[in-house]
Amino acid sequence: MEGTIFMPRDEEHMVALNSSAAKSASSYVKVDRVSIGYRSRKTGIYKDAVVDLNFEIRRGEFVVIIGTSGCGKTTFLEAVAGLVPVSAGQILLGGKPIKGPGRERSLVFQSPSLFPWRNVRDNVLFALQAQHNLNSETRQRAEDLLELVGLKDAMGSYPHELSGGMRQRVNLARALVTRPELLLLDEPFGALDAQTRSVMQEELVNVWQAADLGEARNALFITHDVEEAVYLADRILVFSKAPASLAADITVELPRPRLPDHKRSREFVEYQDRVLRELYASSGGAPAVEIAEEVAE
Amino acid sequence: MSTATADDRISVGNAERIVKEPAWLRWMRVHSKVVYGISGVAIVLIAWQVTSTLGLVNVTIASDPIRVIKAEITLFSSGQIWGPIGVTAQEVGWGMLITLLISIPLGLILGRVTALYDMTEPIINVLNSVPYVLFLPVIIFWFGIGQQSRILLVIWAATMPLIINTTAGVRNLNSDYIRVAKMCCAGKWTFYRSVLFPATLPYILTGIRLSIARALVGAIVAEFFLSGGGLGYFVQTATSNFDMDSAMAGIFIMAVAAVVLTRLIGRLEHRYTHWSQG
Ligand SMILES: Nc1ncnc2c1ncn2[C@@H]1O[C@H](COP(=O)(O)OP(=O)(O)OP(=O)(O)O)[C@@H](O)[C@H]1O
Ligand SMILES: [Mg+2]
Repeated sequence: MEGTIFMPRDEEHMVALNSSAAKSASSYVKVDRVSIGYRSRKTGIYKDAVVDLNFEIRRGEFVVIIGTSGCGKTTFLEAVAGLVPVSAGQILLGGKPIKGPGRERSLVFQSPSLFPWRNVRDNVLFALQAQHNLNSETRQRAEDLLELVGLKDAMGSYPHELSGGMRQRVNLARALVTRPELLLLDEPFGALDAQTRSVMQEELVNVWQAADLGEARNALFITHDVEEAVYLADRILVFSKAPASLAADITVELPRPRLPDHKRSREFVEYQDRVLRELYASSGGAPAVEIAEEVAE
Repeated sequence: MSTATADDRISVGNAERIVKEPAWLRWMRVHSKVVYGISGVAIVLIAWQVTSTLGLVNVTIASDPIRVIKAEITLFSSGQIWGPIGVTAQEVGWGMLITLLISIPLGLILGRVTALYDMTEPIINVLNSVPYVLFLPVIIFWFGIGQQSRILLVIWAATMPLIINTTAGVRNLNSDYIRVAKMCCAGKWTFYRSVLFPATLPYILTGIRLSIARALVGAIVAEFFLSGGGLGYFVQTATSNFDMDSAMAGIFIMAVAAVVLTRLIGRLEHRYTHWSQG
C-alpha cells in the first residue's frame, strides 16, 4: 500500500531541495478544465465558485494560491482535498482523478479544529490512529514533529490551554505526521497576529526544508497576504475575483533556504509589487500604477 | 513593568490578610459553599427537633430527627431494611443498565441519520411529554405486576431524556470534527468511537443525570402501585401502620442514595468533560 504511494526517498530529496530540478520534473497535479460550484439547499440554484481552471503542478513545487476574499480559494483547495466534488472537468493526482480524501494528502485547516478532549500528543496521533498506522516508530515521529514545532513541553496540554499559534502548530504537526505527499494549507496563519505569523512562516519553511521529517514535497498554500505568498512560494497562482479563474502564474526564483531577512531584499519587494499588481488588475480594483509606486516607496 | 509591581503589591496585601486570619476562619471561607449548605440542613433539623420536643407538633405524626436516627439504627441492626433497599437497587440498576444500552447507541444513530431523526422526533417528543406514570396501567395489563413491570416502568421513565440529550449532542457536532476525520481517512468505527462519542459525552452525561433522577421516581411509583417490596413499598406500609419514624428513615435512605448517585455522575462529568467547560 505505502509503497505504491511514496516514491523512493533519494529521488524525492533531490526534487525537493533543488528547485531547478523541480521545474523539469514531471507533472504531479493536473487541473483540467475544472469548474466547482454549489447548489443552494433552499432555492436549488447552482452558482459557480471556480470556473475553467487549467494548470499543472510539478513534483516538488511549493505553490501558493492568492486571491481576494470569497473568490473560491477554499473551494478549490477542498476539491483537491477530496471534500468537495468538481462540477466539471477533473483534477488528476499522479495521473488518477481525485474521488475523495486520501492518505497521500493532508489538510491544514484554516481554524485549527483540534479535538478538545484529546491532549496535544493524542491530537497528532489521531491521524495515525485513523489510518491504523499507530506503532512505536510512528509515535516517535509524532514526538519528533512536535519537538520540531516547539511543543515538546506542551504534549500533555489540552487545546483550550494553548494559544492560537500553538494550536496552529499542532494542526501542522497532525497534517505532517502521516507523511503526506501533498500538503494542503488553507490560510493556516490567517488568524494570527503579524509577529506570530512570521514566526510560523519561518517554522513552515524549516519543516519544509527538513525533508526527512516534513517530507511533504508538494504544498498548496492559500493566503491573501502578498508577503507571505512571495516568502513561501516557488510559484504563485493569482485567482481572479469570484467566480475564480487563473489570472496570473508567477514563478518566484528566490534562493532557498529563505530567511526572514530576505523579505527586505530588492527582488523580494519586486515580486511583491508584481503579485499585487496582478491581484488588483484581476479584481478590477484600484489603479495598478499607483499601487506599484506605493510599494516601491 | 509597573503593572507587575502593582500586582505584586496586591498579592502581598492578600497574603498578609490571610496570615492574620485564624485557621478555622480561613477554612470556612475556602469551603463557604459547603459550610452554608450544611448549616441550612442543620437549621431545618434543629427546628424540627425543637418543635417536636416542645410539643408544638405531634411526634407520632411528624416524627423528629432523633427518633429517625433511632429507627435507622433498629432497621439496620435488625437487617430488615436490606430487603427493600435490595429490591429498589435492583430495579434501578437493571433499569438504568438497559436504558444506557438502548438510549446511547439509539441517540447516536438518530443524531446521525436525518431521515430517522425526522421520522422519530414527533413520537419521541410525545412520549417524553406525556407523564410516564400514565402508561403504568397499560404496562400492568401487558406484563403483570411482577418485577419485570417495575423495571419496565423505570426504563420507560429514564430512557427518553437520555435519547433526547444524546441526539441533541450529535446534531450539535462541530462540522470541523467531521472534516478532520474525513481528511484523516478515518473509518466509520473510528469515527463513532473516537470522534462522535467523546464529542457527545458531555450531553450524554447530562442525559444520564436526568435519567437517574427519573429512574428513582419511576421505581418508587412502580412500588406504590405494584406492592412488590422496595423502599417505596416500605415507606407506604410504614406510614399506613402509623410508624412515621420508619417511614422517615426510609425517605432519608432514598435521599442519600439520590445524592450519592448524582454526585457520582457529577464526578464523571468533571473527569471526562473538563474540556467542554474550559
Ligand atoms: N458550502 C457552501 N455552500 C454554498 N456556497 C458556498 C459554500 N462554500 C462557499 N460557497 C461560496 O463559494 C464562493 C467561494 O467561497 P470560498 O470559501 O472558496 O472563498 P475563499 O476564496 O476561500 O474566501 P476567503 O479568502 O474569504 O476564505 C463564495 O461566494 C461562497 O459564498
Ligand atoms: Mg477560504
